[in-house]
Amino acid sequence: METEFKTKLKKEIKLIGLLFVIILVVFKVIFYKESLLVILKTVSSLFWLFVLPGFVLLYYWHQELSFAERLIIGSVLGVAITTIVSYNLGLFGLHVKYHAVLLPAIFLILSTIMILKRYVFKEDFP
Amino acid sequence: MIKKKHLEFLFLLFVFSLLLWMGVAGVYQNKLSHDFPHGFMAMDSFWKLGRAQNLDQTGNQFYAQEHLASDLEGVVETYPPLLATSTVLLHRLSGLEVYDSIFFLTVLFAVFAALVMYLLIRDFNKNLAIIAAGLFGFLFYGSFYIGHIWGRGPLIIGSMFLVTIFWSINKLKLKRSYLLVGFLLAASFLSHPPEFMIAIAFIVFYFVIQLLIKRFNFSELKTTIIAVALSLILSLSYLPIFLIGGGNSGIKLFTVITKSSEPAPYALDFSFFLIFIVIGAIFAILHFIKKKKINVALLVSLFMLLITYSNYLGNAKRAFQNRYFWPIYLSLFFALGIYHLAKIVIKKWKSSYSLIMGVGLLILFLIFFHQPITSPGLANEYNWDAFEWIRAETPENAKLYFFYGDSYGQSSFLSSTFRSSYLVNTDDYVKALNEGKIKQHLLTKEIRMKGKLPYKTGMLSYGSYIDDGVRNYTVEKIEDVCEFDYYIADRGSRYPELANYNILMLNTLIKNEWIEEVYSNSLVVVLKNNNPGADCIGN
Repeated sequence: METEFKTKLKKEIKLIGLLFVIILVVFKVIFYKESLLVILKTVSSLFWLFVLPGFVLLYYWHQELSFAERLIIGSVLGVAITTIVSYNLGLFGLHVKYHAVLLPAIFLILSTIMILKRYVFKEDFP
Repeated sequence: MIKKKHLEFLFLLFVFSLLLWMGVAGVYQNKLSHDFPHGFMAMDSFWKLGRAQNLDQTGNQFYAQEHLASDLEGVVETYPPLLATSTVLLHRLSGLEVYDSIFFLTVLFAVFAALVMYLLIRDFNKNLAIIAAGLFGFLFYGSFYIGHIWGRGPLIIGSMFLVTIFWSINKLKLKRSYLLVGFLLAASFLSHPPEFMIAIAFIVFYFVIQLLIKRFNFSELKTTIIAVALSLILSLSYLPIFLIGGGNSGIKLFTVITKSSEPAPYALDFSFFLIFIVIGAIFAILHFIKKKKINVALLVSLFMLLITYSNYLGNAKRAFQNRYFWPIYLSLFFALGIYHLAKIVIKKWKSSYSLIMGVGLLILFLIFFHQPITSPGLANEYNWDAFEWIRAETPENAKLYFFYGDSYGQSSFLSSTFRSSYLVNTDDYVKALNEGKIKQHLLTKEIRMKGKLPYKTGMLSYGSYIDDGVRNYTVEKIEDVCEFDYYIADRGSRYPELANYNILMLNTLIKNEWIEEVYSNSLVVVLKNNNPGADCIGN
């Protein structure tokens, strides 16, 4: 089970990498008058802010949801979670300029802990 | 060799790319970064931009910009926050301007919503999901596209969450699915509360149907109640603000209207595609009656059809606005219609036929319907450059007076100056022109946020400057032109008489030794009044 989980994870990390390159190419075609650097920064930002946090979080249900589901729903969920927490943190006084880097990093760490607990250590949260 | 599942993934990539291209490539002229806002074609676009810029500057969304709050201190921002938040996060990380991020994201969110609907239909039938994608192109066509170019971003992000809530209702059996549903419900509330209300109405509808067909699931109800409670906790910081101010959007509930006061989608906008939608809807109803089985995708389509026609039941404006997403909500009907008609000829259906149809329909749409908008919108390089100069070079408490400009009628555009701005009433200005007079006192509109101008009084309690009588709802009154610090006017216009009258006005003002020209480009002139209050017209 553990090996199966790791094999799947490795395969999907590669798939996400491949998808990143494909989306980069798609953006370059759509915005062909734009510099590659701007496109690279935009696509990277979208992945960091929305795609990755949601996708990794949905790994909690990786047996029940397909890759496409985790990717698409994960992107929407990433928007939801990142923006809800960002809004509230702003009200608590943490300037929005820190959120774009900080929040996805925190979500990725938390999601990883949650997934490891469920699938590796077999100790789901209560 | 390409496997079947790879083919589907490639198809989704194709749909994603094509929709993104349809939605943004034309308006953005195939560039992501611009010197001035592109895709802003109405007043609302600039209201939303102003809120995002405010967040970017101040770091939070608690207080409204003072220049939009009638220069009152501590006025609380009442507008739902998530569009501004997502915009500023993207802006901060990618380096795109705030105005470039906001329009781009509304298109991207609509594309996400389409893909989520695909997944929801796929849980019902994969072939139908693929065919349904053939209707998605309409999202960026004609009156369906209005939501994007008229600045209805909060509705669009809210609708994206709404569609995803529908999907999550289909997954209530997942362990801890309340987390999914709860976060999505909160996100819909913080994006656009009417979408949250529609989601709650759907949840009620879903369980009523379960009861009616005797398939009630108590465990699902329990999960949903926990999810709703979680969403309220996550929305707690905004809930009291919404209750005092955000809910007051000027829309009258329980008013029956048959025609929208602004351009809105109507069924005939689907052209000949409508035939398939109608046939599909009939099949959907028959299927539902015959099977007596819960199918979320079918329920969603029927429910959203009701919602989008609820203008006849008193849901006035919101019913029309939700029609922007008809290409998503009605896509299952469309697919059912096509599928059943095709089955008359093709007895044994293969999944490759669905793929051919899905791609073919999108291409058909592209050839016969797609008309990209290439105009950037209200802003142009000249007035935007003038606004940037004002933001950089004038004091923060400066009061600006705008004479006629072709784009200024969408008056929130002027809020991009970040200064207290006032705009001459065009009718009064034309009257003065016709009388051949230069008037010192003109009917003038203060550019100000809507609502009750709330301020914080306690932990979760708020007062209102409107209720206190400090201000009233009226934003238009006679103003003395000489009281202002800066005058802004365009010397070119669709109406040459008005442009000439602007020039006449500027010439009159500049005759005074205390008024000087401080900025000009080939369109816009800015004059500075160094002695506000002194007689500047001389009549």
